[in-house]
Amino acid sequence: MNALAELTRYYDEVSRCSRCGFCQPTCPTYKLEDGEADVARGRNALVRGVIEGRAVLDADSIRTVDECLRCGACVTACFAGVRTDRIMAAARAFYAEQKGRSRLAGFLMAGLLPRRRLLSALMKVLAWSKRTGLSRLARLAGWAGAWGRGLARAEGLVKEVPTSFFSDRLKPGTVLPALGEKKFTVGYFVGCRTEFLYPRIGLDTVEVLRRFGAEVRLFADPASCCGLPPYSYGYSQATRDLVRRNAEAIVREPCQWVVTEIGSCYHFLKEYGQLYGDDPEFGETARRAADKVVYLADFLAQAGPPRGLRAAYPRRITFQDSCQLVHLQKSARAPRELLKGLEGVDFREMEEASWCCGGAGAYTVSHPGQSEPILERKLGNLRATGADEVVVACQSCYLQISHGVRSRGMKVKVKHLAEVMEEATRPAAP
Amino acid sequence: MLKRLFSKKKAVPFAGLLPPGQVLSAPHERFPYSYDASNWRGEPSCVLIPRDSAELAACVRACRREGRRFIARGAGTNLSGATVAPDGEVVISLTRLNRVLELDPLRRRALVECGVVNLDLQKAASAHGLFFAPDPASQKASTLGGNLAVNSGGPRCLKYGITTHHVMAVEIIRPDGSLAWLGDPLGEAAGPDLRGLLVGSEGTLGIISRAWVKLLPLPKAARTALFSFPGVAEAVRAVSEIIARGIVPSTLELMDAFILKAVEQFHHAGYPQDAAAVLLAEVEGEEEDLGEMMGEVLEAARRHGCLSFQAAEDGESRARLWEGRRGAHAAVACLRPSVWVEDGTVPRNRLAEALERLQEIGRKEAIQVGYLFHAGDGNFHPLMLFDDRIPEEREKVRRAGGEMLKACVDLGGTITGEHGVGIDKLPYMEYLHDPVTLAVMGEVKAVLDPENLCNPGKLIPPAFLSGAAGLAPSGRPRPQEAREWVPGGLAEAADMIRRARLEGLSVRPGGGGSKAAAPDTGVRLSSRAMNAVLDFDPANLTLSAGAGLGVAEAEALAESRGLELGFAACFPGTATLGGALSCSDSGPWRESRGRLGDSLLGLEAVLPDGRIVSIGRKVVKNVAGLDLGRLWVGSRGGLGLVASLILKLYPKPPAEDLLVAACPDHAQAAAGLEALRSGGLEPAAYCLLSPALAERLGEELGLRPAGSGGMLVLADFRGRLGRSGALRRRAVGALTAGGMEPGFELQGENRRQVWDWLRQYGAGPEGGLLRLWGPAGALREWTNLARDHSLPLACHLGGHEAWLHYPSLDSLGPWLDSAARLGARFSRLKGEGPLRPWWPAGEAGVMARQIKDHFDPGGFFPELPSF
Repeated sequence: MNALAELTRYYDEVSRCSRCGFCQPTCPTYKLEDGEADVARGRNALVRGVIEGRAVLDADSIRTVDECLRCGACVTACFAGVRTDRIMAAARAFYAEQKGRSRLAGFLMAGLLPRRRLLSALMKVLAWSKRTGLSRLARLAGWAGAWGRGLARAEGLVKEVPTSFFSDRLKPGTVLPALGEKKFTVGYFVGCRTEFLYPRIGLDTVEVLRRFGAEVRLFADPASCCGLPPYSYGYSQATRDLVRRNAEAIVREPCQWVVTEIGSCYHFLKEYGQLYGDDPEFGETARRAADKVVYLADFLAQAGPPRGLRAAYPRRITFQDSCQLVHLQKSARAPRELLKGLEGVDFREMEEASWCCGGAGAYTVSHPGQSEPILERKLGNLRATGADEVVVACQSCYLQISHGVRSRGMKVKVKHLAEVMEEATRPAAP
Repeated sequence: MLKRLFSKKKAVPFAGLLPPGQVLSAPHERFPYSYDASNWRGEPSCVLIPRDSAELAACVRACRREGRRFIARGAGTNLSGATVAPDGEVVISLTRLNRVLELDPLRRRALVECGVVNLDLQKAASAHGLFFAPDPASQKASTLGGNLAVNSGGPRCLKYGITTHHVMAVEIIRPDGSLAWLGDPLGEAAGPDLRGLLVGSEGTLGIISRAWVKLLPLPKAARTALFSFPGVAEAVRAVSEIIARGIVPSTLELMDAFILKAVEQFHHAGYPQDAAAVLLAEVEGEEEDLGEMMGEVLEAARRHGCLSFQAAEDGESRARLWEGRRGAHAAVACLRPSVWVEDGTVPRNRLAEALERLQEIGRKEAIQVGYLFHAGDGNFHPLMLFDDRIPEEREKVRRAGGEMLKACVDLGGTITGEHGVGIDKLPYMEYLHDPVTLAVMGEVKAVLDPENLCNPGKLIPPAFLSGAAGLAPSGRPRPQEAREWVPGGLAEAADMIRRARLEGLSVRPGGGGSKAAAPDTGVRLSSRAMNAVLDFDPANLTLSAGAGLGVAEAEALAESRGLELGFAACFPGTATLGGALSCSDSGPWRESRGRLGDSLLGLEAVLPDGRIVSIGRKVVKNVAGLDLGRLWVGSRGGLGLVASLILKLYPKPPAEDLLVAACPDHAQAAAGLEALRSGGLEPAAYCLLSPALAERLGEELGLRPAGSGGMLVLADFRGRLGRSGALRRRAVGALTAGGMEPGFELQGENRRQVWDWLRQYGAGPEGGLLRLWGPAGALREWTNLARDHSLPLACHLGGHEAWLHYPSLDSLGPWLDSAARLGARFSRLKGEGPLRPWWPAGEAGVMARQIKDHFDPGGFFPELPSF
């Protein structure tokens, strides 16, 4: 009953859907089979039906809710701007509350994600097994059931796990001075994908921020995660714990802004105020934290480049939007402006650049059957640009598109915006 | 009910019909097909998802076999409940039939499956510099099948017309699963315009599975401007004046103050906030003409109190001006949980009056309403705010909507301009149509779908679906002495027809007698005394007239106010409007201007049983019910007597220019047309005259350009042709580069003389006139045949058709052979005697026969030409 009351908080939001169908042409999951269930209006109709007692959320009907990428393309297309992304998260939470979830997912989301040290230790083991080839062996052996399939795909997606994590290189609590004149003080939010998979991108981000005149502060006691994965998958308590911890850390840090280079983390940090702004215990903190967060590209575009920027080498590049950045935070300009501003770069806009690549956090692992064709469409558009490099704004896209390019033997390089900016601002060799 | 029966029966429905995953029967799978963009709901008992025409036909056959009613559904974006399943019908979802099967840039046609999204066709066409004119607001999501089924409108209608004008042929799956092609990809099929009947029939007569649609060259340039006004009435008057000046903007969109405020709140589009109305106008055409056109629009706006004006010079500022209009619905949608959109249309010069009445209704019901107008078409959308979770609010909005539509009908308008009837507008159908007309709609439905399988309960009020009772058997006409009856009016004509039936007299309707001789038995029923001008409304661009009004008289009347008809029928001196309609005599400008049926807004006709059907209004957008008028287009009197017509008129183009060039052969002529088009020059007509015809023209009008071969090309340009004459020079350049020698450039009276002569050619009792349609190869062959046999032939290369004047039926032999071999089609404009088509009329013929047999069981009226 309690769970339904929680879901009913979204009754007004879901009722604003007029079923016009404008979400269809922009929804990557709809475009797979053109099925009415697999698009925002179908998903919203289902949730509205559940609230009004005309439909049920059961093992069958939850499928379409789970298959939502939560990319927010429908929000952009929607007349009324119905936040289907939030409604889907609420529906998953409702379902998890009612029916429970798989033990593995539960353990990952609620048991592991909030515990940075434990997660770190486990990631070390995984890194080791990947390097030794043990994991491939395990994959070949098939592991066990659904566990194995998901983990096996996850294992296959990642090319290599770094030997040392971000916090091994830059300890929590470190303060790095600005390079050149200090103009800003910023905190840097380290997302889990930066920490465990792509520390290089994090280091580049810090470096670029410093070159743009920012003193960069790392939180003394960071959480491992912004809270987006447990939120997406309906683990309300784990989400709340993470949000509270992060919000407090962000507000506490003596800096003007907190910057992140991960599009999806940025979006979720911005959601803190909306989702928890009326929480009796830390609502105010959540709102203040959200206000303080800035996306890397927006910060750089605002800060202004230290001098004329020039690409490290001439090439044709294109840009893949981070879904949540472009659709839910309406931020599409800054990254393009930065890239187009690079001397020596031939920038080509990609068809459907704002379409999800099928990565969508853990989606690529949990829904390979949908994720792969969505990726295929993306790669087709990427090929059509003839670009040498595709620049991304989120590590989720980085992982997915890298996997796509690698598995199809394409020559395109995948780069994060931070890497490109680092190369462009690198001081000339003496 | 069905649902319950169904759930008791454990057997899997439609097992083995389609591959797995294409039959949805679990509740959670059916649920998302229980709604569309309207407020209506109804869950199907099963959803079938075919992937091609063959699977679709199999689905329909299976439904029929199992006695299940079915509903064709595209993207489900309609606003009328047309695709919901109130009685647990089977939904056939067509979204996977989404291939553009053929795109022929040369002939400007595309063959599409019904599930292609409108915008996807636009993208495919734009790669060839072409576009598909219908652009309903839902075009990003809605499918072409859906667009065709409701005969959609859109902002561009003002200039380009509605969906049906751009549909050449449709393939339908009939309710029994058989397949019929209606219409002709290139021209006009002989016989009643069943294609036109199917378009707009909301899936009640069959499922449109594929269609040949017409594509147009993308406009070269456009200019957009926004005008603000102190009131909607002023803006509406400005719209009338713009149209009266003969400017045809591609769009004239009007928004009221309520919408403006909402837009500014959410989009900050920079729309003026002090205004009570803004008008968004866009003109298209030759770059050099746009300034002048926009200047005239501005002048018209200023004369009616325009407060301010913003012009867009580049793509970005144009997009900004459009942003507010495109976002208008969105902005209003943010104000309350739900928005309901009504869809009234009134004669365009009565918009201000309509608005006043509607606002009164809104005030009475205390509903917040914003108004969006496709002002140039007289079509408008009240956006009513409410909360669909509150029954009283739903009720209130529904009541207000009904009253608003009633008000539109009272002002001479209609209950739906572009959204369709579905379930939503059923109760209002009786405001608009008389019981006989509704019954006739019901009978047509019952004839073509006797088991009421196709989208039952939609479009036609159920009370009028009592079935195809038909006429009491009345025997057959007996041969009797020929006589002529000339009724003076509709009622008299109906009496005469009833009397003829009682007396066993066959009836042959006729007009001026220009195309068919009087019959040697029975009654020749002439409409020539029904020749009154019933209503000439230049400001609204409409003419209502008796069917007996002469084509030349109608043309002169229109011209007196700077207007013209949408067709140029032959033998204007003797032909009547009714006669032209019965033969669908669209004339030489068909490809650029449209078919004759496309300017038909309404008509009154007497059926073979004496009942009077009255359909249509003085509005250019009207999708309330079956487009019955299409049945009389091309049916040559086989379905009764047309008594009067409402025709859409067009502003006469400000400039006309005819280039006459000597041309050796067909290849040279075709190359000339290509050269013109690739140079961005679009002739309104492009006609090659055979030596025999060219010779006569030369003799009688003294036009003999230098050059050999003996053929002539007529390249006719109409529109704003550029003040500087640059276009003319380019056209001459293009033709001479192709090796032709343009001899004459004719304007005004001289130009007109040529066309008048051609249209009048072949009048007189002897011989016949045949229109033939075929691919480029066929046109070439016919041109050669005409040269070899010295027959007069006018070959409209732009319109893919040839007009052959033949002295006798015997002389047609070579053409019949050739056409049969090339898969061509024909329709006869003039002439007598048996002339059987060489192609099997197929299912289209069967359908026409079924309709004919129902309305004229004894065969008192002439055979339909499709047999």
